[in-house]
Amino acid sequence: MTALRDLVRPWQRYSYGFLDESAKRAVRRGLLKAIAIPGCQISYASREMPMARGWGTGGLQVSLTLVEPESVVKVIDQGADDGVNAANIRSFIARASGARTTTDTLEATLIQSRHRIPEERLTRNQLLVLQVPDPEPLRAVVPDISVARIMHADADYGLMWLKLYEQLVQAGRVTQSSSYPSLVNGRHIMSPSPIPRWDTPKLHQAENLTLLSAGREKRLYAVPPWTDVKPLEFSDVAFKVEDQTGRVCERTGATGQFMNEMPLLDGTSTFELSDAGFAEKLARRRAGEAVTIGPTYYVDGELQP
Amino acid sequence: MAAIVGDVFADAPTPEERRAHLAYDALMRALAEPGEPYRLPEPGLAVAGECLLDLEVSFFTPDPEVRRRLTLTGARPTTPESADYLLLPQVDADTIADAVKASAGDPLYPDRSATLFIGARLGSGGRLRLSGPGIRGRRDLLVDGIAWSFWQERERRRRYPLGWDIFLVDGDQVVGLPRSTELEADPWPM
Repeated sequence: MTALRDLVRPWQRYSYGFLDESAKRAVRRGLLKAIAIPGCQISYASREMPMARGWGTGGLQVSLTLVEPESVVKVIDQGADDGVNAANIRSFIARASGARTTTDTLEATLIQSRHRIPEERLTRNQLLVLQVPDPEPLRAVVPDISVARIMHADADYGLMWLKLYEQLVQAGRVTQSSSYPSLVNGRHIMSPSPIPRWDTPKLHQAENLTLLSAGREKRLYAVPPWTDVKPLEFSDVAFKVEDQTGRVCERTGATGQFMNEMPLLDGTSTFELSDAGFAEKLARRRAGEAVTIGPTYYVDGELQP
Repeated sequence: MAAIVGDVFADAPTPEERRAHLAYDALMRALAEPGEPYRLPEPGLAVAGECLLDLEVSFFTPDPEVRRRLTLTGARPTTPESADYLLLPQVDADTIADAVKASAGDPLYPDRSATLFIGARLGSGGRLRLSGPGIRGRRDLLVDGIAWSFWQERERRRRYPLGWDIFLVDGDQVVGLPRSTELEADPWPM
């Protein structure tokens, strides 16, 4: 017989990484299922975090489950390390784990991101955690999640194609700018989270493991390394990323990477690199510092194999 | 640069937290790269179960020591048919009957399938040729000490996205075989 005291753990101020062991085990179980069925959404008991839902609690729970004292943590919000949300999440993970933090993609072992994938190529030992506001790609066409679940079970994705077709006939092009629906491992359509179209091909046959977590919607899903992730496209209308031609980063002079557009008072615009950690390194190299810059997914706006 | 606001409030992980973390890390990476061996913090099936199980799930194991340790997580021991996790030190002609009762999930909830931890010998024996997510091209895995007809059963029950997620454990080595992995066994069991 198991006595009650055998089931109780010794008192601690905080569990390592803030989450208690049961919360971590629930996330671990969900993540293993998510990895085993790439792109399939797995329900989990998203816990209360010391932060409002919708501000990255899903990503935070995954990061806190994965973090270890040796981790090097990077957190970005739309590419920027210094956004308030990103800075606070980074501080919280570091304070809850004692892990080191960085803004350098090459140095990071654990990257939590809101809506961007870094420009420098991620490698085998790096873990990418994407925050997801709406994990259900079918929501725009089927508001009822129980019906959406049946459609996923049947691989019944006709309405998704119809949605893209309607955009095409109404606007002359596919207007879906982020969360571009993608077919994973030839079976499940997933939302890659609101990353721009530019970042979607970075998931296809990637070297790294990507974990996606929606805290408010209580869903986990994953893209393992070396997995097919194909944005939906018509045989005669190819998927296209945002054209960055002619855009020059004002701070670094870089071209051919994803840019933020900043409107000026005279009605024109100026541009800067969206990936702030990458921009910082380019700026430091420009100033004569020796910095290591890794290979990028795109060179001069062309996706590299 | 990336400054930390406030003090680190975390204590160092306790030995139990550390062991569970290292075990999970090995399982996660093993499942993300099927066929690639990773190292558990201690030999055996119990450590793998301990990092995942708690009172929300059930398990089956014929091994009394593994059962004793996993009962302490609060998880319910149950039958092979209804267990979320099966921990089988051996799958041979006599014990394969337990393994093949494992649930392959439900079309609406493919994640409600069983996860199997199976004791085996890695690096010798029959050849499994693996391909699919997590594998660049193909990967070969040599496995011994497991009833070979088990692979036929795996294929029979696998209707992707339904199927079993399998971990082969040899001492402290673990290899993952998620349901997404296409598997050719050589020799093919007859």
